[in-house]
Formats: sequence, C-alpha cells, structure tokens
Amino acid sequence: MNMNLRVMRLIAAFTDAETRGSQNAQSRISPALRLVVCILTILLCSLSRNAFYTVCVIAVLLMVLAMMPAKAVRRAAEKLPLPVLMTALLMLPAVFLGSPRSLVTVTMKVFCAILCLSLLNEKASWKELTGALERFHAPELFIMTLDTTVRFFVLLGRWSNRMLEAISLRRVGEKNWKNAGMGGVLGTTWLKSQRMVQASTEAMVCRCFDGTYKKTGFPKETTKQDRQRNVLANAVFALVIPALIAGFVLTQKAV
Amino acid sequence: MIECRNITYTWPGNREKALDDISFVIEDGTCAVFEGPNGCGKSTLFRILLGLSFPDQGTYLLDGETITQEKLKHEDFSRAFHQKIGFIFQNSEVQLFCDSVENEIAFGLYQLHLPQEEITNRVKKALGEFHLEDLRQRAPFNLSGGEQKRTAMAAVFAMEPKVIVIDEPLSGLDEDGQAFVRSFLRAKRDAGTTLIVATHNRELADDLANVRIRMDRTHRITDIRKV
Repeated sequence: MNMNLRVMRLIAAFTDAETRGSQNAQSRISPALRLVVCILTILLCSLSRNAFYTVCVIAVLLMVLAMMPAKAVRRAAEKLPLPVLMTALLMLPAVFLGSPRSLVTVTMKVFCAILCLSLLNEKASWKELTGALERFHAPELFIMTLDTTVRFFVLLGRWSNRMLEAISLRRVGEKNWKNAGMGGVLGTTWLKSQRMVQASTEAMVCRCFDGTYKKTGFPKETTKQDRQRNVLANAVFALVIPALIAGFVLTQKAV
Repeated sequence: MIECRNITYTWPGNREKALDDISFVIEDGTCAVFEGPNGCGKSTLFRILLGLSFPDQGTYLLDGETITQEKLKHEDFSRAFHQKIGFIFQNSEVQLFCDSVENEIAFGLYQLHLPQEEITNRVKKALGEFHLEDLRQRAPFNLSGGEQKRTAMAAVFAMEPKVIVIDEPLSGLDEDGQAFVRSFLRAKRDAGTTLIVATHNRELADDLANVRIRMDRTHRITDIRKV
C-alpha cells in the first residue's frame, strides 16, 4: 500500500513538474528533432512485419501521453476513435478471408500513427513545425502555402460558425434549421474563401511579394546554462532514434 | 506627387462606370481625405492608385511617371512602385498572412532585399511604435481587431513608403485605438508622409485633411477643397 502511494506521488510530482515547466520543456527539445522522431516512428511501425514492435511503441507512446496534463490527454484521445474505427471497418473483410491478424496489425499501426501525431501536435505548435520544415530546407513557398492553408481553414471555420449562429438565431423554433442552412453556409463560405484569397494576394502584391518567404529568426535570449540544458535535453531525446531503429531490427529478426 | 487625369473605369461584366472622369493632384507631404457615400468608387480608385486595377481611359502618374499594367509586369519597377506606396485595408484580417506578428512586419522588408540587420532594426522599431512587443510571437489572425489593425499598420509603415493609402483607418477600433491611430497618422503627415485616406468619420477628416475630395453616386468628383 505504502509502495503504491509512493509510486503515485512520484508520478504526480513528475507530471506536475512537466505541467508547470511545460513552456521550458517544450522549448528545450527542438521541434525538428520531434518531427524526425515522429516520422521515423510512423515509418518503422508501417514497415514492421509483426505486431510486437507496434505494441511496444504504442506502450511507450501511451506512457508519454499519461504523463501529460488531463486536457492534453483528452485532446489527443478525441482524435483517435474515428480513424481507428474506420480502419477496423475497412479491414473487417480480412477476417472472413482468413487473415484476422491483418485487421489487428493494421488497426494498431493506424492507432500508433494517430497517437504519435497527436503527441507531436501537443508538444510543438504549428509555427514550430513549419520552422522545423525550414530547417530541412523545404522550399519557402511550400511552407508559406502550408501556413496560409491552415490560416484559411481557421478563418473560414470561424466564418461558417458565425453564419450558423446567425441562422440558428433567425430560425428560432424550427427543429431542422441546421440542415436547411447547410447549403447556404457552404456556398457562402466558398464565395468568401475566394474573396479572402484575392484580398490576401493583393495584400502580398502591395508588399512587393516576389516569392521570397523568410522568417525573422530573431535569436532568443538565452543564458549559457539554458543553452547547455537545451543541448543535453536534445541529446537525450535523440537517443530515441537509435532505440527505435535497434528495436525495429531486433523484432524483425525475431519473426 | 500623385496625379490622376480623366480616369474612367468600369468593372469587367458591368455596364455602369465605377469611376467617371476622375482628375486630381495630391502634392507630396499632404493628406488627402476622400469622402462620399458607400459605392461611390473610393475603393475602386484606391485599387488603381495601388496598381491592382488599371483605368480604361485616362492616366495615373506617380512622381511624374505614368503607371501602366505593362510597366508593373517588370519586377524591379513593380518593387520600386510598391515600396513607394503602401496600403492598409479596411479589414486587416485578410491583410495578415504570416505566422507571427514579427514575421508579418518583416515580410515586406525581406521582399525589399534589405540587409538582415536593417530588417531586425526596423522590426524592433515598428514593434515599439505600435506597442506590439508583447504580441511579437502571436499569430496575427488570433489577435483582436485593434491589435490586427496595429499589426497591419506596423507591417506597412516598416517599409517606409512615401505614400500611404488607408481605407477607413478607424473602423473596428475602440476609443483608445482610434486616438492612437489618429495621433500616429497626424505625426506621419507632419513628418512628410503623403496620406490618402477614405473615411466616413468627419472628425478624422477635419483633423487630418489638407485636401478634401468629395465623390458622389455618379462616381465623379464633385468637390476638391484645400483646407
């Protein structure tokens, strides 16, 4: 009993420290390194010919998820059911065709990939991820297109939401107002998106846009001690890469 | 100096003229305020001044040089033109497209191929002038209306254009925001920047205007008055 309590206190203290220092912890590990680890994990799980490797990776990912604040766990968990259920549904015929293991393996791989991406999403912001792409010398215009696309998703989402609210207010007492207004909302959102794209393009032209897209990259003010801690945190995190590869090689040999 | 001579423009697919025989001169370092009802052609005229649309008839000259579609196809000419004349939209939300306030301000400066040190200095100066230091890392589309307006203004003013065209500078701003924008524009006018403003706000027009240009629903200029 005492032992259990001690373990629980230890986990609580660790989680608390992670939550309180979340900004530091997040900034210490480079988003580029996180991105590499995430892509590598998904790639190796996809290439894996047995379920053991995927199960091990999922176990580690769930452990990482368990260390995160409750809100983050909820956000990550919300993204999981739909793609996993869809995969299971699509793979269901495999059971009747005599390959039930395929159902389990593929579904687990999808679960692992979504979980991995959710964790990346929680640990690094969109801005940091596009910054990481820049580090890998992804074309500037490609990064800008990605940035702009995401921004437009957000803006159009807000716009549609406002329109739905307006419709709901004007159709008080009607039960099926959502269905009735959907066509109008989609059409207007489409028109609005075209206007917004035109306005954004013109704003860029007015600011001499010639295809160059750079970020300021202002150096963050850090102390020597901070820099040392960053290097150490990144070095420790980088050990995940050989561990992933070694685990993959060992488990595939075991097949 | 900005000069428009007998400009006429009709939107593609429309029969009615959006601008009809528009002529005026705006001297350097003055503030011209365009007034008139909605739909009288102020925004269309601004598009022509910014090189986004081109007149069907008439001539538009900036510093004595005729601005044409052909000339603006040349990259160097286009860059020099857009460096001279900046635009602040009425709706700042669509004008902001970068991932952080500081990148938004730096965007135009990178297009001008300025040295990194100069860019850093100008960004810092603009952040200070528009009280955006605390927001420098924030995504512009997540800011409030007033903060977005200040970011849009900082991004344009950092490029140090000779002429600034502003469509409804006070729209969507609270009292403090309006006071800030008003005093900032006044200071810029006094420092020699040419301002071209469209507004329905009489107080602002009284405060800023050296020249008041009135348009009406006939899409013509009905009155040009020096103040």
